[in-house]
Amino acid sequence: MRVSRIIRLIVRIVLYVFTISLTIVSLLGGLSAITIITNPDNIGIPDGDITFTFNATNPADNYINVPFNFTNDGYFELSNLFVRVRLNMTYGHYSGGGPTALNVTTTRNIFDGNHTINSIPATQTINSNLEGDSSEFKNIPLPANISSVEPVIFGADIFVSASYSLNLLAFRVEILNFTITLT
Amino acid sequence: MTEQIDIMAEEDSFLEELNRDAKNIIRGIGFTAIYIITTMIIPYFTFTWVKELSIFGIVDIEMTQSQYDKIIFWILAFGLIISGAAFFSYSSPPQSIRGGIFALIQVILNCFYIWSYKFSGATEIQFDIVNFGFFYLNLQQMIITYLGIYFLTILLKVYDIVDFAVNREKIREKRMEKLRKAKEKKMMKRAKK
Repeated sequence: MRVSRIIRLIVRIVLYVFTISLTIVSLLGGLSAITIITNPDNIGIPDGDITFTFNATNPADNYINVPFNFTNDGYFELSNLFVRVRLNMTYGHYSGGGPTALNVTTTRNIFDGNHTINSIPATQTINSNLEGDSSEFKNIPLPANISSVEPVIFGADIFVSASYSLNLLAFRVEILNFTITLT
Repeated sequence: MTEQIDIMAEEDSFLEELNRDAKNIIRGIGFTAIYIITTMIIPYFTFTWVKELSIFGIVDIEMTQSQYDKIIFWILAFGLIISGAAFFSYSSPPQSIRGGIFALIQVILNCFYIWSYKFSGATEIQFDIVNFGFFYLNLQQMIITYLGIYFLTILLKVYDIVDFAVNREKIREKRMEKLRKAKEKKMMKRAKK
């Protein structure tokens, strides 16, 4: 065999090894991601009741605790698990003044917190909490501006993202407008 | 007698050539079939399966119809071109410049095929979780890594073409020698009979 063909054969073998490894990792990664998301027990966000206290008159009492669990049912380590909770408050207030004032509904974002877990080894489960105290609440309307006619509604947008298979695959789940009640 | 052997040798050489060409064509058809399965049929069924997956065991998720149609269109379009190029690439004689050029064209088409996953939106698939939210699957990193490997393969194919062009005479001599040896062997067998 010519020397040039021997060099080519070596490079070809290296490329085959790369391609086959990448294909196996991708297939197992895809299969793992599907296994995780298709089992309702694997992603528990929220896992149980959300503790939520809100007091517009005394903002120091404001507190939220979202318990969650995540089970890595796949073949590889799951990395950069990022959980973000955005809390929205919908309330009624009067727009304008005097007898022509209109009762309108406004939604504002009063809390935006996140929690990151660097890695979850394969087959492991993590239980954690996303906590937020009064210092993390913002944008709270003045109590005098909240109309007693309209009920105050709290809704949470929950975002979960993670990467898999040496960061080759990434997924993100967005749960929008999840209703939260005061405890 | 010698005249008869000459006619037979001529017939043999014609049949051998025909046999070799037929072998190459069969090889081309075989590889075309492999490419049709791997670049068209498997991705088609995978995306059709993923389209209506059940998430968390309870909620149905749906890939938007327009995104699904776009992905399938580009995958089938490039898959078809790649499969066609595979026929010409694999039916060419081994170590020929023609084979080398078609192999290079095929690898470049493969790069476009992989890139079609990116521009058709298949690298970031969005699913609607009905009445709940969204689920996104991002495969961009994986596609980029595959493209890296394909880039190395392109270099290898360019190397092949240069090698086939530079060593053209040697390759031809070797091919002829191989044919001559095979012919001699046959003649010896026939003479023994």
